[in-house]
Amino acid sequence: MLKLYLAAAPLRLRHYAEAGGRTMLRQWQGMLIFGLLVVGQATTILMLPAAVLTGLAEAPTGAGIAVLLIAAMLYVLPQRTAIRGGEMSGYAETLPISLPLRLMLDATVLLLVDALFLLELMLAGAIGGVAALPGLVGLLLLVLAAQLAMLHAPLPNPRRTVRMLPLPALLRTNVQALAERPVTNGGRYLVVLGVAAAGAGIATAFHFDGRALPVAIGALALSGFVLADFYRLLRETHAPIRAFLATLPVSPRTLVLRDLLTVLCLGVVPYLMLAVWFGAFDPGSLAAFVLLAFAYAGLLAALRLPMLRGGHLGAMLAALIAAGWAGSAIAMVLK
Amino acid sequence: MTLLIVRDLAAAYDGRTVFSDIDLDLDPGAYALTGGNGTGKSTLLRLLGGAQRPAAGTVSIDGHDLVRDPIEARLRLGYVPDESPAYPFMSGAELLHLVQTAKRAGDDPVVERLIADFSLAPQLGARFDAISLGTQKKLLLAAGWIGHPRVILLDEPSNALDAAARAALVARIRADAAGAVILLASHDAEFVADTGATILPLEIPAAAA
Repeated sequence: MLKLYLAAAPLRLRHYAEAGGRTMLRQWQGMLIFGLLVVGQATTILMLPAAVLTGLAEAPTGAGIAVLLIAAMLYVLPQRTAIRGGEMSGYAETLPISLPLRLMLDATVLLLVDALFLLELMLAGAIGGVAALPGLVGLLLLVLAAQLAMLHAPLPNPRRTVRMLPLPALLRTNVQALAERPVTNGGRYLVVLGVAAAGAGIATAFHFDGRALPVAIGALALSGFVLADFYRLLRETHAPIRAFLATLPVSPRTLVLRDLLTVLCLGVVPYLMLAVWFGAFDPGSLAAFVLLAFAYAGLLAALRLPMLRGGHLGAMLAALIAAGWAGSAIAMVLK
Repeated sequence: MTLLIVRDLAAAYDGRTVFSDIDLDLDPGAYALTGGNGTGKSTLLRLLGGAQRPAAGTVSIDGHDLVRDPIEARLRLGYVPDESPAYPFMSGAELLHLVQTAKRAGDDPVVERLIADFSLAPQLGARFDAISLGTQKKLLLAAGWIGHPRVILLDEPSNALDAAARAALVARIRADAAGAVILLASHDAEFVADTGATILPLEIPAAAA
């Protein structure tokens, strides 16, 4: 068993590093950037979760553990395929590998996936001392058990649902392609809707005064920035068939137009959320929203270029364009 | 001596039944599943190999139930998929080592002979994404023979093979068919004829959901 573990574990870890390593890298980058942006708070940002974990280990509460486990399961949900071994997992099923060893291999990969959580647990150990250790080990085991259950739980298939939707032909392929990664793309779109909802909420808290419209513009810029990542995802989807399509009597612009249309359609919902909310509570702002519709469509189209041509700087260039757009739009509104 | 027993096997994708009520009793020999695209040949092999869970039914490999006694059943099984399942960064040697370790197999003259017949030695250290489809297929075929399997499932085994490798594979199948069930799915009628495989009178009903 040990021999097989030693043969399989490095392959599984390496596969995850290649398939999901980018996600991990982003988390560490995010942590670093967040720490640098919030001046003087880098230590706090690292220590705050550790302090919460220490408290949970020393005096566990049902609600606290439930939140931790839900977060842990949601964290692995979009990475299920990469963690389970990707395409090779089906072939591995045909090999005589026992269930305990399969779970051990999954848990080994999870320890890498949870590297940030392990760091927080170690910091929590430093805060709580020896007394907190049994509780922290218990939390780690609970998290691993919950994540293992999530890895092997049968989930409903959103691809089938999307396939049955009466979508126009121009959008059908792209929407189905996005539905192939339901959790990642669904999560990303929920962020977009969340940004719009937050914008509407803040504007309401401001009683739709002079700050409300700039907040809505900021929300649109941010949602546009998040939506722009769909251009990259759609390009990846088209990559395998691009050479084949080149042999067909189809204009190369067809895919570009479809992608633009897809992102514009996705952008309609957050725009309408804000426009309808403002229209209901601040009808005077509707004229501004009509103009914003065109400007927002222009922003979504403009973001395609940096996302696809900007290389490693693509996201940063897109953020700059979105920020510049928001600044200009706010200046126009205030004028 | 019946090595592969299948009862009431059914497969479904997203609630749509691909086939159902498959029964098989196979003694040692070479057998070929033939049929048009989409009839479920590859799906049937995946089910028999344990790569996919059946919607219903049981599979027994050399007397061991694939679900109730999975380790013993898989120790007696060799499965060669149509498409390479290996990680792109993995080398052929690593794949063979992994399968050999999983099957608790030592050095095997049959596998070494296949590696020699397929001229694989120079390619063993190369990454999977750096070798041709034919070489990938040869490596998977060699892995399929590791551990003296009593049931060998081959999905489109002749795809992408050069003439020499194809001839070697035919000879291997002919040689081992006396002691093992070799069940292959293929569109290559000439290859099937060369192996002397029995065409299975298997009509997979494309049942409606």
